[in-house]
Amino acid sequence: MDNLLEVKNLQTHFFMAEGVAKAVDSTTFSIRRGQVLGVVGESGCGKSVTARSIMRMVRPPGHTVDGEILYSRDDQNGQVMTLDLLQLPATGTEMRAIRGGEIAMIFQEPRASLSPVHRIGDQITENILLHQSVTQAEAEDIAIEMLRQVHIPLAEQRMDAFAHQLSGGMCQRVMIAMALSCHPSLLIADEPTTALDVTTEAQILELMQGLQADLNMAIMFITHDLGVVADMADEVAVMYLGKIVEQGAAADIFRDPKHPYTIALLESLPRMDQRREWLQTIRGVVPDPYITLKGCPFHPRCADFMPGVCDEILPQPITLEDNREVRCLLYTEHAHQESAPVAEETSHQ
Amino acid sequence: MREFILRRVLQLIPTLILISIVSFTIIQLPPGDYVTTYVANLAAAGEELSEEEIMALEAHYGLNQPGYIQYIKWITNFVQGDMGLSFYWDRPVNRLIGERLMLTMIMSFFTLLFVYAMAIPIGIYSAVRQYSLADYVFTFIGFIGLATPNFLLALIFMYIGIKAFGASAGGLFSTEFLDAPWSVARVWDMLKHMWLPVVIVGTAGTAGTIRVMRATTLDELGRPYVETARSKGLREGPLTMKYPVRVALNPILSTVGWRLPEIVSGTVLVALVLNLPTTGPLLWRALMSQDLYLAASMIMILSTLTLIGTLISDILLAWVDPRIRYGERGTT
Repeated sequence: MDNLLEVKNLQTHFFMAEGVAKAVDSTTFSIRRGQVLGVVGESGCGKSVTARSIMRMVRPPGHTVDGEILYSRDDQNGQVMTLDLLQLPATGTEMRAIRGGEIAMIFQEPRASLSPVHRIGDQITENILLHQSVTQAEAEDIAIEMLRQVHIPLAEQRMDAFAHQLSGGMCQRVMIAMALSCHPSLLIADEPTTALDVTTEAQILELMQGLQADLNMAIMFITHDLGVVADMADEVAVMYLGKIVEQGAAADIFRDPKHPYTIALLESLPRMDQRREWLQTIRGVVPDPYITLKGCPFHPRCADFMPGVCDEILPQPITLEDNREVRCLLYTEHAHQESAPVAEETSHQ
Repeated sequence: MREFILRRVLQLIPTLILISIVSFTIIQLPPGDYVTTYVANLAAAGEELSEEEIMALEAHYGLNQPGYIQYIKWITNFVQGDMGLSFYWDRPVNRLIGERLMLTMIMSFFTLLFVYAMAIPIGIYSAVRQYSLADYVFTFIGFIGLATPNFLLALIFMYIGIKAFGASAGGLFSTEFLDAPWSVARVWDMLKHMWLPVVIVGTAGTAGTIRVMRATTLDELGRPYVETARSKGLREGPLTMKYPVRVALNPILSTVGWRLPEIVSGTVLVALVLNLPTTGPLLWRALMSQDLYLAASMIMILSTLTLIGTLISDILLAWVDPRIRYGERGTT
């Protein structure tokens, strides 16, 4: 398989006075070249920390304690070589060349993500000058061209603007222009449209889709919005409590979710074609991050909880048909039932 | 920007008028005036003045006139550069203040320089290496500096100076330069004496500024735009200086002006202990003896310095922070 990035058994923990919070706990997934991977999950499930672990930007008290992040790049001879990003010093020359140059990132709060006291143009050209051997004037030309590509009107004038003079949507366009200015092979988008209104969100998503096709880059699209994932992603990874509980082709997952958590997530989507008194929710809340649950981390909230099994055994990823990976004991010999559960009729209330 | 500065300068005028009225009134509030204090002092020394002599004195100093006439006379002369007569010293206020004011401003300037040169790098370091050994050490020293009264520090330094070096640590000049005219040698002599009061007066300011710099830098270090900068692959050192430190400096810069009067008036005790020829002790004595014109003129000068300082701060802040600069035009 033509994997651009392969994350294996990634563990990023936060060492706090209250204890160790395992924000990312043996996460395994992969992103293919030119593909959009949607990573979904509730707040605090480890999506953003996973992204920062890949960028090697986790700040203390967080530390990536174990795992592999295998990144494939073309060397000078056009040969594909793979290196483990976790083996590189986080602030070393090589990792810094990859960061911003080959793997770029955009963030949730577009205006706060731009410096309040530096001009837009200065911030974009900085990125270009860091990764390409061009002059200041050439870098400015590239920056203007990038601003045009993200459909910012009057691109030349906007170079001198400050973040607070632009709308949130415009700021996110600037962030995208900056991130893509060095043609990265992977763009990590950490909830890039969460802070925007729906109209702007739609525009930004459309822009990202267009650029993704033009530049043939992969996108790791982090969101808690299943609608956005359905719109954007080729493949979906569902995350719960620091683990990927299900990964597969987007179409397959939406049509036939396997993990009880994925099923519950999809059921809690409000639907236009059904009138309901109550919005379907997942019972309970995300547990305390400092407590390590025995067995499957989802078992206290699971509709298909099997006593004596789910609270005892930690499920490992299993590959089902059509390349679906699921971390659930229902699909193992531990399940009492003969067949996998069909969850749509079960009441969660 | 020019409009902004012009408007701010024009706003100074009514403020100054108000301050002059208030300060003149407050100085006159305590019962009695300079003549009563003077008579009481003479009486204590066993000398009695007759009613006529007292009246003559009051007439001589213009104290027999109503307060507002005294004020109008004083302020009219003040704006023309004549600050009146000091009763106590029996000399024009202008001559009394002249050199002291200059020496005070030179000392304030060096103190400010000392405070920032020490506090900003230490504050940044403490923030970037939060909870490191050095951070704890600086924090500890900083709190001691904050908690120790400056005059106590001055006494300690004088004690050390006399015990260890057999030299007096007081004053700003050696004896031979005390009343000498200005020359290169005198300036050099002054600079040699100045470092000690600068360090003593600057300690508390340094400690406070370290805390502010550390706190604002810590605040900024976690901001999303710092993460963006990091995601570009910048080196950590330049990244810290260009982004979080640059923004964290804004509150420091914007309070530069406030430090001016703080240093001028806050050094009274140290100046008394170290026998410094600055304005602090003079103001103190003027207030004690109800030396009306001297006290009012000095308070007026201090207020003017405060306002100018604030103006400088505002201009600096508008200059370094585009959010404020462009806020003037009403853009969002």
